[in-house]
Formats: sequence, C-alpha cells, structure tokens
Amino acid sequence: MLVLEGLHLRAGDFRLTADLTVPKGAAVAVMGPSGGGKSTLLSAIAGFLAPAAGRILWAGRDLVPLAPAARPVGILFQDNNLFPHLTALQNVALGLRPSLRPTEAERDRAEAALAQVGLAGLGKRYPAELSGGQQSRVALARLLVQERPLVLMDEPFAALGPALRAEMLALTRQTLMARGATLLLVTHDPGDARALADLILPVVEGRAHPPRPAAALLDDPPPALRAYLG
Amino acid sequence: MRAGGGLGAADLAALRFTLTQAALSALFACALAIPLARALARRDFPGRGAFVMLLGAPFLLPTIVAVMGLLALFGRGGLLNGALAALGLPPVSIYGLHGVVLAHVFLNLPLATRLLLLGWSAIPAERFRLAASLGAPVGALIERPMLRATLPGAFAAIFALCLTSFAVALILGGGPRATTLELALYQAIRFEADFAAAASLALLQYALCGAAALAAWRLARAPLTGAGLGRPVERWDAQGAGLRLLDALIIAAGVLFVILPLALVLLRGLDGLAEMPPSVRGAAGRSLLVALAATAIALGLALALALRGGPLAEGAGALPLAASSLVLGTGLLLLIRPHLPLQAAALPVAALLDGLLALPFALRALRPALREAEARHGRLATALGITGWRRLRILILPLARPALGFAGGLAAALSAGSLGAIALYAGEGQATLPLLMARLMGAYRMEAAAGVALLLLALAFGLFAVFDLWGRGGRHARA
Amino acid sequence: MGMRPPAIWQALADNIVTVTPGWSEAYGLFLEGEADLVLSYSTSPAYHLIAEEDPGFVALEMEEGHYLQVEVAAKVASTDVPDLADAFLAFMLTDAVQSVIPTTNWMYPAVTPAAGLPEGFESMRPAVSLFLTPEEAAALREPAIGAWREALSR
Repeated sequence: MLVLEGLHLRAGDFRLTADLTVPKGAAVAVMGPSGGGKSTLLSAIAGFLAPAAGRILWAGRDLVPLAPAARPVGILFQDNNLFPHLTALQNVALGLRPSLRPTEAERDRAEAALAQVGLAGLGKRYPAELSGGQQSRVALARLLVQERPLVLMDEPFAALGPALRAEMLALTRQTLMARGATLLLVTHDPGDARALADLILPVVEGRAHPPRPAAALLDDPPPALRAYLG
Repeated sequence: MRAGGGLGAADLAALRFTLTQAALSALFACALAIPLARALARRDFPGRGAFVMLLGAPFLLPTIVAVMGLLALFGRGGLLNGALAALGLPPVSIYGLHGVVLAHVFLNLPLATRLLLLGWSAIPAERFRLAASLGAPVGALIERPMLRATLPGAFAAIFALCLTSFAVALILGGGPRATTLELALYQAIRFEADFAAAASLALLQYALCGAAALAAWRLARAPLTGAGLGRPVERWDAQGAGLRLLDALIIAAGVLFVILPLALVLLRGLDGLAEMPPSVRGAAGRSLLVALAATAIALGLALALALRGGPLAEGAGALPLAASSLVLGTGLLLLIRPHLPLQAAALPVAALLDGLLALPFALRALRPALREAEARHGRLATALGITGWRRLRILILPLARPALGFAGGLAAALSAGSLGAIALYAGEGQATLPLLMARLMGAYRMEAAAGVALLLLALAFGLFAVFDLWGRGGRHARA
Repeated sequence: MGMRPPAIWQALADNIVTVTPGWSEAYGLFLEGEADLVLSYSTSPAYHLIAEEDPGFVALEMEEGHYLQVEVAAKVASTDVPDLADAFLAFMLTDAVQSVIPTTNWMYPAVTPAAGLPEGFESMRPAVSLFLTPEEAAALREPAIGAWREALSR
C-alpha cells in the first residue's frame, strides 16, 4: 500500500499537495492537464525531488530518507530509458546489478526477461539497431528483472503508434501486473486508462486527488477533469 | 631599469605593445574566419574533412617551427619575395607589427574557424529549411545571431592566447620595439635573475590574461570538440554561381594560407631526416612518454573538475590559460628544488606543466559532453543505483568518449610540441624532441633540426589522430 | 671609442632585421637568407669551411676588439673525489682532448695542439681580444642593455 501523507512538493514556483492512498497491486492511471504536476508527483515518489513536507509510505515505511536506488521503485521515463552504448542484454542486466559484466546467472535471467517481452535472441543488439517498440520492450524487460513492487511510468510509450502502445500496455499488464506489482502510469489517453487501469488518480491544479475506479470516473468526470478530458 | 619590483617605462611600453598586437591578431583572425567558416559550412568538396582536420595543425606547431614556415613563405628570402623579384617588384618586409599579427593570424585563424564552424553546424537543418520555405534572408535571421553568440568567445580566446606570445612577437616584431610582457618576464628571469621584477610582471600578466581568459570562458558557449564537423548542411540559399565561386576562392585562399607554410616545413624537414643524430630515438621516446603522462594529468584533472562542476571548478580550469608556461615552470621548479635534484625533476615537471597548460582545452571539450550524458541518462542511472565509480565507468566515460578522445589528442599533441620547463633545466640524456631540435640549432645543424621538427610534427599529429580516432570509434558515435 | 654606444645603436637600428630570443634562432634566420649579417662567433666561418667545405662565410673584424666567451671545466671545492677531479682536469688538458675541441665545440682550445689549429681558426682570429672580469661585466650590463633597448625601441 502506498500512502502519501500530507505531502507538499515544491519545484520552483510550482506547488503540489497530496493526501491519498493507493492499494497494493492496483494499476493506477495518473491523469490531468499538462503542467498539473503528474511528473512532479512521480519524481517525488522515485526520489528525484525531496518533499517540502509530508511522508511517502510504502508498506508502512517512509521512503523520503532513501536514495532513489534504495527505494522499492522501478521507473520508466518518457525517453532515454536505455543507454545507447550498451547492448539490450547489458541494459536489462543493469536492473539486476549495476555492473557491465553480468554473471552467468544474471545473463540467464536477463535473457529470460527479454524472451518474456518477445525479444528472444536480440540481446546482442544496441538500442540504435532496435525499433522504437523493441526499445520499449527492452526497458520493460529491465523493469521485470528489477522485481520492484512499485512501478512508475511517465508516458513511457507516448512515442509509439496506437497499436504498438496498446500492445505494450497489454504486455505490461501480463507481465508486471501478473506478479503483483503496483503501477502508477501517467497517461493522457482515456482509452489507455480504460484498458489498463483499475483506478484513476487525478492531478489537477496543484493537487493530487485520491484514486477512484476508472470506469466510473471516466463516465462521470468531476468538473476539473471534464474540461481536460473534453 | 626597475627598482623593488615596480614597473618602468619600458614595461609600460611592453604592456601597450602586448595589448595592441593581441587585439589586432584576434580581430583579424576572427574577421577572416567568418567567410572561411561560412564557406566550409555550406560547401562540400573532396578533401573537406582532411582540410578541417588540418586546421588543427598550426595550433599544435612548436612556435619556432611555425615561424620558420612563415618565413619560408613571407621572409626576405621567402617564396613571396622571390615571386615579387621575378616580377620586378620591390620586396615586402614581414618584420614589424604586421608580421606579428600575420603570424598570430596563421596560428589562430584555424582555431577561430573551427569555433565558428561549430556555431554553424549547431544550427539545426530545419531552420535553413524553414528560412527557405519562408523566403527569409538566412544571414540576418540565422547567421548573424549565431555569430553574435559565438564571435565574442572566439575573440577573447585568441586574445588571451596572443597575450603570452613572445618568440613570435620578438622575432617577427623586429626586436625590442616589439617587446611583450612575456619577453620582459623572460629577461627578468633568465638574464637578471630579478625575481621581484619578474613577480610584479607576472602578476600584471596574470591579471590581464585572467580577465581575458575569464571573458573567453564566459562568452564561448560553443563546446570545443571535433563533433559537428562532419558533412555540411544542405542549403537552399547561396546556390548562385557567383556565391559558389566566391566560396571556392575563399576556401582556396584559406587552404593556401594554412597549408603552404606547413608544406615548406615538411620540405625542409625531409632533407634533414637523414641528418638526425642517433639520440633522436631516445628523445622521441621521452617526448612520447611526457606527452602521455601530460595527457593523463590533463584528462584526470579535467574529469575531476568537470564532475565537480560549479564556478570554482570553472575558474580553476580557466586559470592555466592565463598563465605563462615560463612563470608556471619556474614556479614549479622553485618549489621542487629543495627536495629533488632539478635534473631528476625535469621530465616529471615537464609532464605536469604540459598537463596543466592543456587543462583548459580538455575541460572545454569534456564539460558539455559530461553534462549531456548526465542530463540524458543521469536519472535512469540513479534509479538503477549506478553511482560513484560505477557511474563513471558505466555511464559517463563511454558516453563522453568522443570528447575524451578529442581532449586527449589535443593535450598529447600540445605536450609533444612544447619546450616547456624542460628546456631550462633538463640535463644530458634527458632531451625531448623540442629540446633536441633547439640543441641542434645551437650547434649549426639547421638541417638536422628541420628533420627533428618534421618528426615532432608527425608525432604531435599522430598522437592527436590516434586519440581522436579512438574517440570516434565508440558505440555512442553510431547510436 | 668615438661615437657613444646609444648613437651607434641608433644609427644601426634601421638596418637591423630583427632580434631573436637566442643565438640559434638568429643563426637559423641568417642561414635561411633573412639577413646578410648575424651576431655570432668569429669561429662561425671556420665551421662552414671545415664541416661543410663552404668558404663563403667571413667574420667582420672590429678594430676595438672582440669579446671573449670562455667556457670552463673546473674542480668543485667540496668534491669527495679530489684526485679523480684532478686526473680529469689533467686529461682535459692533454693534446688528445684539446685537438678535438676546435672541430667539435667550434671554439679555441685552451692549449694549442701540437699539430696547430685547423684551417680557418688562425686566418680569421681577431687581432684584439677583450676580456672583462665578472665584476666589470656585471657593472656594465644594465646600462649597456638599457642603451641597446632604448635605441632599438624607437
């Protein structure tokens, strides 16, 4: 269970507050207008932005004092999710241990993760030799081997076409969600939210609201979100 | 002449000459670099890459070799006056302020051209397409703003480099009327052993060069790298035959101006290769070792300063640009003297000194690359727990490899060609190539010295090329 | 002495091509044809005559005389090996060493070798040699360099 308790974030002039709970194992779409604070919220949970006040609790433990890598959090950014000078296998293996020389066992696990996302045998390729969809799969494979219980995605597949994106979301569900991870996914697309998410967490005008069931919220959005959803 | 370290009238004259020649040199180098860089930015021709690479040559040349090359072209017995005499025209003299400026333009025009060329190649191709579709004037809309951002930095950098010139200024200036601060320093240290006077001159020079170097550092936004020098951008303006001809003429003039003196150095050296004494092998080996050690020092310091970041690091990195190698070398040796025999210290001190002097250039090349690697991939690395040494090894160094290669090549080549502190204090059997060359010249053996100069040139270029090619060979270069 | 040094330098100034940091740069320029005259050693023509078999160089003779440049070998007072030092100095004075000095160091030997001096060393020896003690040289140096700089700075 993720609890944001009296959380106040400040980034320059921008402010965001949050007081909410995300149940364990839920797939949550984080939605709201651009500039509303979605990425800021994810940054704070991942540990890139220290809160001005409040606590971020995972399973009862405060994450705020922990360094990003020490948090039970895996993250995918909008882009630059792979190191261009490392092979797909090396990129995945980094999720197991920050070293360029994975052990035999680590290689096997990375290979298995690549196979799981449909990239069996492509471990020796460099990112530039992979298509956009394949690059996303490599990043997903790394999240799989990381085995972090809380996964954050900041519009990770936004650069892909609609079909590929749907495929990636389905794959995310099949793999990550199947092993009980909790997912916070920033998206602008109500279709994506419907397809993937159990809950929607609206972030509007500097405030993150408690998550509500996705279908209900999309069918009857509150006024602040209505303008955004159109 | 001086008392108690104060500045005399002669020193003020030296100050005036120093400022005048540096300002004029920087002005002409920049003014001539604009058309040359523009022509190179918008034209493709066979050998373009080689020429752009060769533009690095004068900068890496030992001063006396460059001067000899220029004199073979412009001197009293040079090609130009030979041609004038054949036409029945009176000779022109290279000696004087104009000669100093000419030499400094030869040495620094390539640097200015590369800096401006980087400015041009940093303009996204889309802007030229946009300008073409709008029918907008490229010069006013795109090029002039770029020049406004790039030129002041190039000017300040060359101004700072010319401030510490002394052999070029003295020889081509025609004697004491072309005294620079650096020459006054040399006299105070070498002939008068007047360290008080030397100290006040050094402080004055430090203040001047420091200001110029700081200005260069602040103003020059373009990173100093070999990147972006690949193919020219496709342009829709400047397609007319007249402009093509103009660019062709400008490029031809630039090629002649840079390549002719180099070719003359090469020719003189070929005859001398057979005349070189057997000790040239040991000297070449020592030069190579000193150059590699200097490279390691420059890269290590540059990495540490660039990773540390902050204004303090920037200032520290820019400082050696302000320092005269004579002052730095003498200072280092005075520090070491009580602890070590000077002869034993000469080679390590030479490496340290060369490394320090190359530091500003290495730092300039590395910083943007490191910053970009951090900006793009830093958060991902942090999220994956890649920190400390691992971050350097896994993330930073591989991504900064092109910049590392370029910076390393520059440091190695600068060191290989520099006489540095070693000239003053090295003992028998410690000669590097530049010192061997100076000694041969001191023993009437000018041909052999020219041969060593050629070898030196080959070594400096070879080192630069090896490092630079290594840098470009990385994965990142293709991704 | 006739004209005072500043006046002599001033009269010469517009004939001086350039001044270099050291002898070797100047001699290099001279050999490249940049100047017809160079400040060098009276033994320079002998080098070209002997080493290059080129008799085309002459040293101008000045009637006031030519300053001697002396290079020395000496025994350090604090040496631990005085016998060795003495033996070495004695060796330096043997005919074997003295006879090779003219054509290796291109200077006059301290002791004229038994076989005499090589060609060019006797024929171009200046008539008057000047020698100043270190004290005299130290006293003269500043005003002399000052006058020279002053005259050539114009």
